[in-house]
Amino acid sequence: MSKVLEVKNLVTKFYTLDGVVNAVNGVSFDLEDGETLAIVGESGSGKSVTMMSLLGLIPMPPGKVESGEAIFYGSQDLLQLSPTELRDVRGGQIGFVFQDPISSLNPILTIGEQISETLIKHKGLSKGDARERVIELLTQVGIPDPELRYKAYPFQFSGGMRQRVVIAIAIACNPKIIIADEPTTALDVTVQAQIVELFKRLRDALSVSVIWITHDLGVVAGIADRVMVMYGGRAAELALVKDLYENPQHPYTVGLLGALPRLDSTESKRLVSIQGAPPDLLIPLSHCPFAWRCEYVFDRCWQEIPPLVTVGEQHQTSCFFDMDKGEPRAG
Amino acid sequence: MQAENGPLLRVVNLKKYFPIMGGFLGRQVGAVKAVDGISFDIHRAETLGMVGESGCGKSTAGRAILLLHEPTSGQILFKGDDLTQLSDKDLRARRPQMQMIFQDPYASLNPRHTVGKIVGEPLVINGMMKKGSQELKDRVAELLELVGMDPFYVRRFPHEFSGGQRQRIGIARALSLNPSFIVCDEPISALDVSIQAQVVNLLQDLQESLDLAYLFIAHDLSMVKHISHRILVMYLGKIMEMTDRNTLFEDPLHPYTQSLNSAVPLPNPALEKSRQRFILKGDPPSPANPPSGCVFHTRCPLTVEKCITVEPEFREFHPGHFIACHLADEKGSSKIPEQKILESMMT
Repeated sequence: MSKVLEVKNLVTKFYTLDGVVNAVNGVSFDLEDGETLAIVGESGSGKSVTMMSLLGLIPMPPGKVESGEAIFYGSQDLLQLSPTELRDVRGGQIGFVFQDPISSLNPILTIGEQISETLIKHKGLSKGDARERVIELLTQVGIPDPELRYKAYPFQFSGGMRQRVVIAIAIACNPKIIIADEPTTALDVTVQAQIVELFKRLRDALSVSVIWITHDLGVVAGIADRVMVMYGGRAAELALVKDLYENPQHPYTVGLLGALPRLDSTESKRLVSIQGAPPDLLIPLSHCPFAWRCEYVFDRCWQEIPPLVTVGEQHQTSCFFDMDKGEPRAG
Repeated sequence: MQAENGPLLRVVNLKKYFPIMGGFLGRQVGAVKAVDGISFDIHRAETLGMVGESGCGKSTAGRAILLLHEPTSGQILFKGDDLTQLSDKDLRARRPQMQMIFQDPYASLNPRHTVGKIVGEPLVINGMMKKGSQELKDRVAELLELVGMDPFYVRRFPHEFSGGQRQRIGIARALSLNPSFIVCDEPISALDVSIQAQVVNLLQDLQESLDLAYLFIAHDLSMVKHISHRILVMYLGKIMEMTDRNTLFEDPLHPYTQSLNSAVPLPNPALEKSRQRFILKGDPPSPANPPSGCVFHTRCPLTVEKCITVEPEFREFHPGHFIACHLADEKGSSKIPEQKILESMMT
């Protein structure tokens, strides 16, 4: 397998009137060909800002990508591209699906026009050819009567159908990567199930790599190959999906899993809650961002920022405490 | 009137229609049947979970029970008295016993009031304590401690707190008048996962120590299952199924309940891989124009002729297990067969 995307030491800050918001503080990860990587975190963990930074979608000012690399297909560094070059990549080789299907579509253009636009801009198709391809795409994402729906406006669609249209736009140019930012959060649970199944089917059919950003550890279990858990603008843990749920190696991951009620068990245990609240990103940290809330905290956690260390095959954690041995990690 | 061991709250055939105005003269041209004839009981110190998708009328039902929306018809018996028939004065006298916790902890607290004022205001308004009295200050401090907050914060404003802390303030306010029944309208859906657990644990502790009854409205099935004793499932303003929480998840009879269960993702990769899920097609229809017969027939995989024409009665199928489905019988005719599940996954 080759690497589609290699992100190294990404740092993004926002210069606001209240001070500097340290949104992303040195995040590194890879995306393999055909892989689905889930990025999980709570609000303010930096999961969305990470993705927006890669694609030049951070409003500047107040935002600024301070440093880092994002190597696309082993050659191009996305962070060094000019706005015009980046525009070719966005929507062409990298597709997106955002959380809110209502605001991600233009209300005064028909569905057909919006999907064709991508094809005409990126692939140079004529209007007629684009139309044929759009109808094919609408069928592919499960919209009935695509010929009729081509002329419909977004308000004539339900939330689930709009999200299908957004997915059609994302896959229109056969992208290498699809970035989905909380694509099912705004949807009802039965519709969410439809969209997740559709995503899985398309991903396998088009052999595309997916970055799935979410806060829902339930959805992740069904769709991801690997998971990166983010906390306070840093990666807390990076693992294969099975390892993350069965053998979590960061106290924050353990806490998150404990906080979930389980539909798959009949006994009703008290939920394990993580005390306190996430860190204030206005304050630059020189220690572990989770230290305040961690039950395993010891001296070293307050003295330095824990780097990501490898603890198993494709399994990394940024914690000084060895959860298996029940003692601080050596070295 | 009130039997000591009767239900705390009994809702009988509650309806809430919102008029649709239109046409040349601005007359009523239709109605959104947000809540269309629901009946259930809630007992002392019990949590009844209410689940359903957006637009199913669950929030409207919660508000109508507290008469925040005036019901179109139906009875709401609270400790034996029908709230819909009471005079304003008598109703006001009963209001302290029924409180509400809102979904959005940002919108439900007045940004210009201090925490102390927010939590103490119900006591002042109901004439129980005097503004500025030591008694009031003590009670507010006690309430804040009860919800796990430092009484030191009384002089602060809502914007100085995180979402989870604000929700605690909202809970303290709801508790100030010693209620016996609280409607919790999606109290945790605006919060992060790690904070949700804190609030849910708090609600459970309070229930135990104060004998509170909750109507817990949510769309997150796993959380509802965790907190509720009994659960009712709503769809387009009607109750589809109501039973105790384990039966609802292990042996659901209504095809809609089965689909909902199937749609919930489980945080277990091994299980998710091997799991067969029934994927319901389409979106819920509009409550302004609900389908004939059984409201679920347009999406149900088992629809027969009768479902389209005759509305199923909401009946007690087994003791304590209520269902509105023609097909529910001892042979399990309302269960979605495996063949249908496999078909649903293919499309």
